[in-house]
Amino acid sequence: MHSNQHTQVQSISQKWTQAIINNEFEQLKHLMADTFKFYPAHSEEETANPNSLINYYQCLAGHNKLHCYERNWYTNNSASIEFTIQFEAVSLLGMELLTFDNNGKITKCEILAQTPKAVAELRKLFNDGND
Amino acid sequence: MHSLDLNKIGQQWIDAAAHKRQFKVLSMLDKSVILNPPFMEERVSGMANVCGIFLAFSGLTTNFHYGRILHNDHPNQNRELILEFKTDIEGKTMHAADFIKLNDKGQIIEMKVVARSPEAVKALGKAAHNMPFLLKLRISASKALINFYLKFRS
Repeated sequence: MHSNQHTQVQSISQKWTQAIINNEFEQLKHLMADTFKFYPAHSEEETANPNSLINYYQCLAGHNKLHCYERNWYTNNSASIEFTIQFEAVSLLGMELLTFDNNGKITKCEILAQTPKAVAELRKLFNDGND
Repeated sequence: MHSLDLNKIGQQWIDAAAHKRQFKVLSMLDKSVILNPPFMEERVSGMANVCGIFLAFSGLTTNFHYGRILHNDHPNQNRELILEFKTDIEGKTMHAADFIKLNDKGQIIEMKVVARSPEAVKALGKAAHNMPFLLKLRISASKALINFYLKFRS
């Protein structure tokens, strides 16, 4: 390698975060592989439906709780993007772990987070949205 | 600021943890290391307390294994790396990652653990709360030994 691959991973990760920051969530679909899967931090759900991920970001944007992106780390085929979400009493620290295929398409977005109280706040946000 | 070989440090940590090389683990931790476990609201500080959490983690979970090592070559991030891991707790798989900060000697000064799924994290918190007596005893003994080691080292 793979430095080209590494550069590609960095560049696509930047497009990913830009699309989210700009509320252009449909753009995310262009970055996903056909086999894309989404694993959110606040539920047990594991879904192959790209709309599920788009709904996730739309819900956060609807509550003015968009990610505040911080730092990035990479391997040749993955990127981890640190973010925080501020709730009234607690702050959520999270990571979007993106996995790429050889064509530079994203096959997985796994969201990991802490603390338990902050994750419960996140879950509440989505439950309230579904009421 | 000299550059650290983050991949090498990550691999050394993984090897030490996988083979339960306790002295190697200790040598890779700064004395004032801080840990934010995914199942607790509070942070834990100091080598003995942090090792106590590692021991609890290792005693309560099964199939623990590290995955990817992620880092950023940007000079501002030459003291940080991410280690991905997976482990099972009461039939649930926990997928997690350590955010690691290093000092200039390459020792860990801070470790924040993010994880999913919420059910697995909850199960781990519950298991830690109801920890078996023998594991508690082992942790207390290890903490006493580590405190002795620190006294001896200083």
